Amino acid sequence: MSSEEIVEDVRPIRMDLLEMEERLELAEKGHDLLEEKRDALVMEFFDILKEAKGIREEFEEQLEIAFERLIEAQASFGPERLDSLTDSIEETTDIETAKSNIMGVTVPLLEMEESPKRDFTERGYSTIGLPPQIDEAAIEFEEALEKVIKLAEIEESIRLLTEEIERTKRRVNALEYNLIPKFENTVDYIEMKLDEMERESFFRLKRVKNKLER
Amino acid sequence: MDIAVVADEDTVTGFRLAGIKKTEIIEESEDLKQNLEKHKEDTGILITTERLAEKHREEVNSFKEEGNMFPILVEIPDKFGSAKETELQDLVKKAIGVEVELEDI
Repeated sequence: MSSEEIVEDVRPIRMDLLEMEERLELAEKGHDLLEEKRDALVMEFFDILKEAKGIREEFEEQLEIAFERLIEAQASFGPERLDSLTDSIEETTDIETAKSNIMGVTVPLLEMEESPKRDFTERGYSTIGLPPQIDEAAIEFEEALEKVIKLAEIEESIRLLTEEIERTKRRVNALEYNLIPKFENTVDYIEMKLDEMERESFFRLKRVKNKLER
Repeated sequence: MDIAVVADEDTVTGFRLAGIKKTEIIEESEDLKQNLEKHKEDTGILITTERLAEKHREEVNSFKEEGNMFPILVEIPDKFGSAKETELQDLVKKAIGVEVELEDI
């Protein structure tokens, strides 16, 4: 990036100087605002990150327990039989989605219409003659399912916030390292040219005056 | 909207026990993205395992970047546990520009 770059097609006249000064001022104002936005987004990001970390850990612990129960159920009932049993299980409730807004970033909101945690009578298979491990595994996976919804919501929000931070950073940098220096150089350039022209006409006048006086 | 699970056999069985009907059992060598695409209609959350996602990282990232908010893709550990550090660490680096240990936050 050349630091001597100036805006093309400017004329060394006062009108263009004024216009360029206005553009410079606007760019500087925009830069400050974007910087503020970026800092606020980063603060928001850290707040949500803390929460997300906790939710992720909680979910993974729950999932680990669920897998332990599943392995027990498979051991006592047989993996294939367990697999075909799942065909008869009642479908869980739908999730409802909505959108929310964090500092201008649209983020998802998710909620299950009803809790995925069910009573054994609601699962749709007859528990008679079945090993209790199956119910236990179902309970733990229902619990994991409930947690995964919050997890999806928060991790997606973080991802979207990150994208917005990156976008804002790019815009701040473009203004700081590209546009603003360019406008500054242009202002300097026009001022220099105007000064030059002023000196020239001053000397011309002086010479004319001298000639006339002689 | 529904929840869908595209994962290994045990993960799928587990979530089927919890009442998820939109499921697909796939092997590591299979085309993950194609299977994700298959289940994205009217799906709010799409669950896959970290292990599968790692195996097909580029395809998974391109799936994530398709622009629609839903389905949200969630990568979870399988029964062998977590295959990698969570995505969060990566996002911190992107957002802040420096490595920050998650433990420090």
